[in-house]
Formats: sequence, structure tokens, C-alpha cells
Amino acid sequence: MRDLIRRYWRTLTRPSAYYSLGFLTIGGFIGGVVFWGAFNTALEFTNTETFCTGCHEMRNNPYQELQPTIHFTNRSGVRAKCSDCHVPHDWTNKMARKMQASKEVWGWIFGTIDTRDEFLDKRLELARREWSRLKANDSLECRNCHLYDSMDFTRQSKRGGFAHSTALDGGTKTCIDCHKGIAHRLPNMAEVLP
Amino acid sequence: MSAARPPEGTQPPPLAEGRGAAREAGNPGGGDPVSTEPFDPAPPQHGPRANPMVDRQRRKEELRTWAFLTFVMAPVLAVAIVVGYGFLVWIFQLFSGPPTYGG
Repeated sequence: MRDLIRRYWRTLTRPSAYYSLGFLTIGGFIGGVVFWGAFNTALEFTNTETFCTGCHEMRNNPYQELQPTIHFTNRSGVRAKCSDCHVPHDWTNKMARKMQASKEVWGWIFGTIDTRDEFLDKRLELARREWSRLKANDSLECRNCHLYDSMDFTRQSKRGGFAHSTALDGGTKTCIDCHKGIAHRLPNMAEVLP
Repeated sequence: MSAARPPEGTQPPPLAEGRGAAREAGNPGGGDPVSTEPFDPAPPQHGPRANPMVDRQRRKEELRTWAFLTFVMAPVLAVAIVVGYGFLVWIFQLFSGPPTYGG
């Protein structure tokens, strides 16, 4: 065994006698291209609706609640899928979020949210986590689609146009401050301080 | 690591055994690969088949080493680095709070 390792270590650290630099370099490059493609494909797959709703926790709770909302079906046929709002689009934060999802894998394995009641019990905690995230990043995931500069206040309701042109414009409020519970049902807001 | 390497039994006995045997380049010290050895470690390109000294064992080991590096070690290492980086950023965010606008 030691001999085997030593022999391969020598093969590794010494110039190849039988394979050309061209083969080794181009072969390594092609291997890298294939790897990067596969990596991104796998990463994108974990961002799909199919993947997110692959377990009953997600399919029976948040996904059911999303479907009647305007973010799922609407006249223009544009859909916000799970990852559009819940996974950062920036690469570094996306990687961090993907690793954070290991906690969700843990919860899935041990059935942390196995039933509807368990989901309802946890709803406030789950919602708070997302609210604080959107509050901290100035509703970045909303703004990936909804551009303040493209808002026509005259086509908004009077109340909405007023709020957008004052509080949102001044930066004292961000989308999530008013638009809670737009894609999933609200928790019991009596427990949430105004 | 060694799991991807061929089992020892598959090696031709005369090459796989013997510490002092003139296997591979016959360079037991592992020093300068181009040294005064019993035979040329890199036979001339013309007619390697005609050359009885062509080291099939070494050729096989070089291909295996390359394939292992390219298709196993480099991808695994790349994934491990990205995963490690993701965990580091997450741990950092536990202290700094969720990512903010523009960062």
C-alpha cells in the first residue's frame, strides 16, 4: 500500500513521459468546462419549483398558499417562483443561503415541520426570519423585479401612490414594511408589534 | 484517497514488487528524473511499440493519475472550497445579521 502511494505520488510530481502537454492541458480544460457546467446546472436545479416543492412540507404549506396569489397566476403570466424571493441572487449570498439550507435538510430528515399544525405553530418564527432579511437588504428580492423608478404613481391606488412617493421614496420604509403576507398567509399579527 | 487507485493485485508482479528493482525510471531516490538510469524514462516518440523498454506500467499510472486529478480530485476540491466558503459566509452572517442592501 505504501509502495502504491509512493509510486503514484512520484507519477504526480514528475513530468509525464507518455502524455503530451497538449493532451494534459486541453483535457484538463475540457474537464473544467464540463465540471463548471454540471455545477451550475445542479445549482440551478436546487432553485426550481420542482425541487422546492419536492417535499411534502413545502408542497402542502407554503406552495398551496402561494398559488392563489398574484405572484403565482396573473394576467401577464410572469411567475415568481420560490427562489426568486427566498434565495439571494448575488453569488456569495446565494452560496451562504445554500449552505444555510443544510438546516432545512436537517429539519426534513427529522420531520421538524411534518404536519400542518407544526407549520402553523412555526409560522410566526418563519415569517419573522424572512421579514428581517427583507428589512435588512431593503427588500432586495422585491426590487429584483419591482423597480421604483418604473412605478407610475398615477396608475396606483391613491393610498399606494401616496405611500410610494413619500415613505418609500424617502427611504424611511421598504417594501416589506407594508407588503407582508402577499405571497403566503400572515401569522397571527396580534403577536407582532406594530 | 487511495480508494480510486487500482488494487495492488492488478499490478504486473515484476514491476510492482521489489524496492530496488528498476521499475519505472529506476530512480529509487526520487531525485532528478533525468538522471543516469538503466533506460530512458521517456522513450523516443518514433515507434514506442518497437521499443521493448517502453514502460507500460508507467504509462498506465500516468493516465490513471491524470484521470483521477481531472475527474475526481479537482471537482471534489472545487465543491469543497465553495461549500466551505458558503459556510464561512453564513457563520459571518450569524454575527453581522442578514445581508444588507448592496452587500
